[in-house]
Amino acid sequence: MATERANRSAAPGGSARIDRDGAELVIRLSGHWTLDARIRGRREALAALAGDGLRSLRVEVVVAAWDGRLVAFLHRLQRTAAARGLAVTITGLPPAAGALLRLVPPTAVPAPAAMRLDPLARLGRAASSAIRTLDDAVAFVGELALALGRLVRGRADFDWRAFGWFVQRSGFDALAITGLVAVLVGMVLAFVGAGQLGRFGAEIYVANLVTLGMTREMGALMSAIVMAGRTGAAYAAELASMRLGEEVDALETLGVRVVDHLVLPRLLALAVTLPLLSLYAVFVGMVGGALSATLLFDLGLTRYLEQSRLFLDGGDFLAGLGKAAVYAWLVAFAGCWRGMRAPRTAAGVGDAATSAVVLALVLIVCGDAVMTVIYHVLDI
Amino acid sequence: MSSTSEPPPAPLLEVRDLAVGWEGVPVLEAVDFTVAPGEILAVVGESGCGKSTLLRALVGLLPPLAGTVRHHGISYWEAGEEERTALRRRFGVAFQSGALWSSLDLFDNVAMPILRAAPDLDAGELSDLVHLRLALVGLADAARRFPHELSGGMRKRAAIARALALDPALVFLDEPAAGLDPLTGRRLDALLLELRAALGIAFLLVTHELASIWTVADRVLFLDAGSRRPLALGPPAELVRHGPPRVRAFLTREGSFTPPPRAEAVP
Repeated sequence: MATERANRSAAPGGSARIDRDGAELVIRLSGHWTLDARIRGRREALAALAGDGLRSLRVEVVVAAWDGRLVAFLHRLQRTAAARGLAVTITGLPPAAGALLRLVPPTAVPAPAAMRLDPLARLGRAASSAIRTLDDAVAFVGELALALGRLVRGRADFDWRAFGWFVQRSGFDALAITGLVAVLVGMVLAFVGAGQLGRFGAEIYVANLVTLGMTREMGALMSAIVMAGRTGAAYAAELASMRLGEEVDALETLGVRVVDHLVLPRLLALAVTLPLLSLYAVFVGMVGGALSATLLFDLGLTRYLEQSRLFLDGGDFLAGLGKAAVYAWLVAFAGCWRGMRAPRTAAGVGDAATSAVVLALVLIVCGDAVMTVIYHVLDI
Repeated sequence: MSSTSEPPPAPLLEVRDLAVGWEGVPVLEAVDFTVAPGEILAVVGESGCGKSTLLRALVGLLPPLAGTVRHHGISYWEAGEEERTALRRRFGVAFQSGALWSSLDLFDNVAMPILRAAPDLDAGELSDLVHLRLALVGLADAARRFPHELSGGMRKRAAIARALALDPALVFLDEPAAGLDPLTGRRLDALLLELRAALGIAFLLVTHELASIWTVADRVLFLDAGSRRPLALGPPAELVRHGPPRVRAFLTREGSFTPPPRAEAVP
């Protein structure tokens, strides 16, 4: 602070002094008129132009140093004086400053500030924008359906090499992170369950809890959440960058259907890999549960595995797999849709990735709720 | 050594025995030149001759492999961080793509360097300063537009307005006319000459445009991709007369404003 103040006091100074000579206002500019200077009397000088009975303005420039700041102020004085019908004379102006002032049209006025909307109008704008977004989402789903139809009929501009590449990136490359998350979730499930069940001497049912939890719910859910943050965001950022770099336009000008070429391989890759990852997560999660139960709660490994085997049900497996399949489409849809609709700006790329993750998470949770109700009704 | 004659004005930029390149491999070596106040120097050469790499070393984006770059007599790459910041404020750079910040409108693009140099400016004065720059390049009405809403020529002019934000004595321009139609390109040349005449600004211009070279350049630095060295330095008219054959061929190729003789019209 002390240094800052010292610097400030060391800054060069300039001033605008006001004199009145009958119907003429005289403003004398002296000292340093540079960006780093402290300038006194600017506002007062501008305010003085509103004085009564003025017919002309004379500006005397006797500055020791100047830059664009002087010219900007003179331009402002000229504009304000002209608006009040005052004749303006400027004396002592450095030639280069005069040249700069002449380069700028005297009518060049600052653009009006951005329009401010009242709250009701803002609400209306937000509502209509939400409707447009929803409309666009439905349209994108329609485009995807048409593209899938073309793929089935063998008429899509499908990129098989890209598909293989995305399968590797969204599947194999995600094994480590998915495994880590799943093993920890399995351990936490077992840990929390054993603590409670132990009160009734029923620790062995931890195996049921972990098996049921991982197969029906957590395996698919955890894999989908990892994929939303990892692959969904990457899809959105890639597609948004491609739009920014006009790569998407370049494809379109070649007559390539961009949804077939860019979106379908990503979508189908995730549709293949997410259910597989979820199976893997179920297995790893059960291993985590077994580790936690046997190491922390003294349940024999053989007993635990036997209990798990007895409780393991093919229907639960399929129920979890069904959820994973649905989550895959939701995550891929969120990533591709946000990416393909991103504004062509650097911020647009970031926003697309963020909104893809948020949208995917919301869709996953909503999808989970809907499917749980459906399973309940169908008694699956 | 003593001399009674008036010393020439100190150069704004002095480059001595400069070598630039990537990962220790030189793209360009033995570069020597100066830029005097108010001078327009065009750096030309075939694609891949190191023009843009040289520019990056001059504006402080790429440390040179050898040699010195002096701005206002101070060796940029030997200066401390504070001194470098002060030097950077004395030159402006307009990048080839414009490099406008896409999330900011034109006003904020130009305001950013001003606010970094003078954070205490009040809103009214900042607005005056920004609009002065935008008006200089004919974009006063576009202050609230975003870069993606502008045409290519407007983006180039906006980049120049931003480069002028801190009243630099020297402005570096990378391919200012690239991607523009010839008419817009010529308007840009006229703008440079106008700014030089009015404000005494010096320009270092990396360009391919022969028309620009002939219209605005006081001197031309011709770089050679084969030898990785400068091939010639001098006023274009002189290089056309006495320069190496390749430089003469380059400068007289197409845009020297003397239209080639037309074939007789066949009735």
